[in-house]
Amino acid sequence: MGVPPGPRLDQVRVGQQLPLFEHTPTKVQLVMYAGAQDDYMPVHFDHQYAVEAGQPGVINHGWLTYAILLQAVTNWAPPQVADVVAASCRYVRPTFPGEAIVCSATVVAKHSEERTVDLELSATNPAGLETTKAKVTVHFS
Amino acid sequence: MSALTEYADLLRQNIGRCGKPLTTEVDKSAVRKFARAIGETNPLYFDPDYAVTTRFGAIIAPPTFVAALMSMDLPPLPDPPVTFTVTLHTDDVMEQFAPIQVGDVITSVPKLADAFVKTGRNGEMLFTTFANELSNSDDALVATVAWTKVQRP
Repeated sequence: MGVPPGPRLDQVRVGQQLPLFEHTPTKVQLVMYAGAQDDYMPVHFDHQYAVEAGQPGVINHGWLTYAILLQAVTNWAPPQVADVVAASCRYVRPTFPGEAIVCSATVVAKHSEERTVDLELSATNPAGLETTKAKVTVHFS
Repeated sequence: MSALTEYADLLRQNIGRCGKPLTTEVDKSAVRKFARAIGETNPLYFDPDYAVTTRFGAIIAPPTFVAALMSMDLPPLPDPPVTFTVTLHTDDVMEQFAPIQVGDVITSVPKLADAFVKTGRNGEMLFTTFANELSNSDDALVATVAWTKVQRP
């Protein structure tokens, strides 16, 4: 576990695209996440239940998808250099284990005096459809 | 005025009504399990010897750890006039005022924040927003999380 370096605020520019972050959750990860968050909704582990609820199979937890999106930001500016002070996430489509979640993030505003940077994030599934949108504000320490 | 719109009006009279609080002592193993589960590797979430050398001075939790601290014991609300067949969780909005660290004792209280009806392609939908306030043992607000569910008859 190396300590990730991070950018300095003066290196951040509006319009900048962060490196794409991609992660494919597994069913095991969903079980780990259910335990870690204490969320045992059956749609996240019970295939039959998920199918009866109208899904093709178990779906990822919304908050897990959110956590994966945020890593597009925190892998670039980890807590060692910046804190996530505000974030919002909108679930447009469900995401599924075994399918890559590809997250893009763009710097949309920079407030030098407050030392904050606003970013907009979007995640797509293997079909190229947007599944999740987020807005994140980080404060550089 | 439809039955669902009347129900949303009735719900709005209950804005601010609280559910049951949940108090959690944040410990190292809970943070480690959560960080592993989301695929994190930053030593700030795992290594106390490293964390003590940083500005935090102790292991901190990843931003979305607030999800593990939220009380889901929602306020009692009037019964709906219809049976909902579809319920979706649409969004989560968080603000964090201080890092959440190992050793913190966090109390979360859920409140009804809003209720309204929108008409879409599939007819009327009820949106209900709850806000969870997370405070530490000094009664300082460390985070808020607002989330919305959508229900359709």
